[in-house]
Amino acid sequence: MTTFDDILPEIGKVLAQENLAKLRPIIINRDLNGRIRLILKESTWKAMNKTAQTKLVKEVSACLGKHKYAPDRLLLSDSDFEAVKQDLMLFETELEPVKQGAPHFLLKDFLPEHFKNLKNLKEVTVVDRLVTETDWSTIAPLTNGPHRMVFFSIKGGVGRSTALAAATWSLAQAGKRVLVLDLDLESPGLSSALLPKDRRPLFGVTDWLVEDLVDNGDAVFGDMFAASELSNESDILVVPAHGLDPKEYLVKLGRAWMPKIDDKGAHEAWSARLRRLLDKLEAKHHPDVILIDSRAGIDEAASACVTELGAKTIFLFAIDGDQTWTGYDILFQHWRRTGKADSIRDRLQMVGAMIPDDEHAKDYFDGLCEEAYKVFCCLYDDIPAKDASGIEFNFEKNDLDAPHYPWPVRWNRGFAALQSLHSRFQDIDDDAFRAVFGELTKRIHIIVDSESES
Amino acid sequence: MSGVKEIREAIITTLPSETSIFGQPPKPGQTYVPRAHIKALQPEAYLVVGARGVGKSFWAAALNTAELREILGSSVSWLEKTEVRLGFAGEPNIDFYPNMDEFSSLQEKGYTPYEIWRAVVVRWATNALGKWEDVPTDKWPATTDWIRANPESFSKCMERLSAMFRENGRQGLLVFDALDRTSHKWESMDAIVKDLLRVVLWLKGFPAIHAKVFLREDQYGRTVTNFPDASKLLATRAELTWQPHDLHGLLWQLLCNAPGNHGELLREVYAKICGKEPRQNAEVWSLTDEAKKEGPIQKKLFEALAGQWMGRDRRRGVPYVWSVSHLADCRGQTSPRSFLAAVRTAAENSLEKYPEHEYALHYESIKRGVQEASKIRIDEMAEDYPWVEALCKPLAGLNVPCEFTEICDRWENIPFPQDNQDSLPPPHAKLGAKGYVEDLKNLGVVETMRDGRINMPDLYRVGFGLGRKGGVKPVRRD
Repeated sequence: MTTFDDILPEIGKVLAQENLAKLRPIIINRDLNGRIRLILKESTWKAMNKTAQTKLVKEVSACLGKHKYAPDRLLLSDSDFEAVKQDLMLFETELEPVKQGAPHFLLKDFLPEHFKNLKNLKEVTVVDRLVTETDWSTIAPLTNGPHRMVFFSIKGGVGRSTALAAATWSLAQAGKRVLVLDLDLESPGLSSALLPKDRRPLFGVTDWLVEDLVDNGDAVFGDMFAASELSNESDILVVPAHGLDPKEYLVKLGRAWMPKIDDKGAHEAWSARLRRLLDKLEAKHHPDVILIDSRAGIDEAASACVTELGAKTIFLFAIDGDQTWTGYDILFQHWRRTGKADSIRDRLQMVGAMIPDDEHAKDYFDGLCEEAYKVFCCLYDDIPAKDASGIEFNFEKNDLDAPHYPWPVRWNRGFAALQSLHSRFQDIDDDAFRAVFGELTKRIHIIVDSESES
Repeated sequence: MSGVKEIREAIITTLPSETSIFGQPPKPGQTYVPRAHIKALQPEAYLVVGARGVGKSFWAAALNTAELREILGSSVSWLEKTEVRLGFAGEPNIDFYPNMDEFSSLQEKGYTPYEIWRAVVVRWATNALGKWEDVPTDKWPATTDWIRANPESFSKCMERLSAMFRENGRQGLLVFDALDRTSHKWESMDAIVKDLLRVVLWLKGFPAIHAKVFLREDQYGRTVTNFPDASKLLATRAELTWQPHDLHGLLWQLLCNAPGNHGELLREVYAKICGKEPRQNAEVWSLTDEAKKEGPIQKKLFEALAGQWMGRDRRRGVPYVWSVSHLADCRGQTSPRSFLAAVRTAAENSLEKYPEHEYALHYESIKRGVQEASKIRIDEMAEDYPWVEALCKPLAGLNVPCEFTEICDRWENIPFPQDNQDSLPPPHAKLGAKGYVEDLKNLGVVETMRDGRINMPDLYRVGFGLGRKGGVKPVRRD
């Protein structure tokens, strides 16, 4: 019984045959429902003889199982040929436009290295039609403005938001003007760390995203931030997920992720809207640095935060556990397959969350580091035994400066619960703070300071 | 920038180009004493453990040479009043101690190493006292026979020796080094070393008489301390390790003592950071304590040569730390020889490739220097442990981390290092492939990851021709 993951390797076998060389380029189109079609150039198809055409239709059909249009229509005789062919194939004069706007990758990058006749699969592209606008492989270029830092984790509850709050406070204490954005719309809470109840603004990100759909963003834009008084040295501006009274939060949330279609029919993806919001906030508030709390887990909201906001630093929080590593592996393999590894990898930084502070600390950390190294290897350049260029992006397991080497945030009971954070942060014990967040904040300062100098 | 080119040339001329200043008698300006090593020289450190290249033979030589002891003098003032004698060393001295053949022959005749070492001691004693009874000193079997037959007289002899030293306000020190030259078989070498340590323990009983045994880590790691009261020796043992700040201190010691104009220029650089020139004593310049410690001064000194960052992205480290840490083996240890070689190569590379760079050492040159040092480290390793090369050369072409079985496959067709070669084989050779991996681990050449795969640090990987795994293959970029 053919399932989704079986299909590409099977089609690969068929398309790798020598006699199909002239047929390329070929697109393997996977639609919203997971049904597959080939898209071919009219001219190359017509250049094939009938026998070869029939053979191809038969073989491809056989690969797809139920994942095709009209799966019950069989190729029993010649008269069925046209119909089956139409279920299976579409013809265009040019294939490039077909790829636009949809995530795609080369089949040969997806299949394992030892796949037979892999070289024959040049110019075979897989195109995915997805409901979600984002797909983790659109990597927006870095912005020219203030440094944007995203805090991401696979699992919730690892102390990501707490660490972000700590970093915010630390940067403000050093005189930086910090803008904080809570994009964990489904699980908001960052603002409680930084704003007491009497300082919550009227509106939040969700409200703007909803109003923006009807071009009414300006109605809320001025009232969706508040100043935290946590630091006397500089300003902390907080933009929460929702305002003081969330009101009909669930239904607003349902619309927040919508793309915008204007009256001329132009289409703006949700992530682009978010980027627009960020640019507006930057223009209004002129922060030195922007910290963004992302949604946990592998979904479109998190994807937009990590890859589409032009963030220069993306903190990947990790605790040592299967769920974490499976999650990051899925993500990294996707980036590797879609050819995005080198655009994203030098923005990533692993952070070790809740590192125990006892005799198990070293052992735990070593295990964490090794797992992080293993999962990051997927994004590193292979260094060949001979003729290495010397500029490969690859790091040794114990390299302190590697993106996989976890920056530790130590577990501390006092900082564990986010609610109490605001009062806790008020009377911050410098030593306790440093013990938990010292290494993270020190290195954040190094990153941020380097820019003010250049 | 003027000055930068000259600094590079000064570094290239000053730092050793071929592998060794070690092994040759050290010149005063090149004598650097890390604090941890001073401990090794104290009388109560009977056991000194260290890998090659950290100066084991150097120290044994220094202890035995009057001029050098004078330089160390202020750090180890007790040495001035000490008579030092070699009980075993790399250079043959058949009157003082038997060589490998003689050892072998004596053992075949039935003498135990315990007796043989005591014979070495008695020859020293008779030499120092001028004469004692009629101890035969022409042939080793004869001396050893005498030891067997005259235990009481021997004790009295030692008591007399000790008293003599004390009367003169002096003390005696027997130094044992290069013990890997006593045998090429682990079983007999273990017995030889173990019995030596028992003799040393016995010598502890005599005031004013001391001994110092220099051991390599692999010798030390065996069961040689498996005898009663061995803890008395272990408790005061010293380890000759080089901490990162020791390596930087060594570097500046050499640079500040560079000859002629080079020295002047480098001392100027030093003075700018430290606020004053290094202390001068006769022909020798020495660093302030600040420059020998881990701290802002040392950091700034290296920054003056290499800048603050290892690249435009500040997340990729600082040269002061990076240059040492990337030369570390699996145990986190870096040898002085590799570090100096890396710095020298970096200067050469910068001179050639980055003439306009504001610092003497460009970070890309430092990376290059670290890679080149891999070959040097491998040569260094091969001098003491030829079997390492024999085991690692066949691994060329593999990518690390790799499965244990991949390594076994490579070892399938090579002759395993055997006992009858010119040097000691791997200590755990009897355990086969697993034993070899264990021995490589103990020397820091490889490590086992938690998932069982074998990993090799760049320090060895580069020189042995292995690659490092990554998901992004080089040809993909079209």
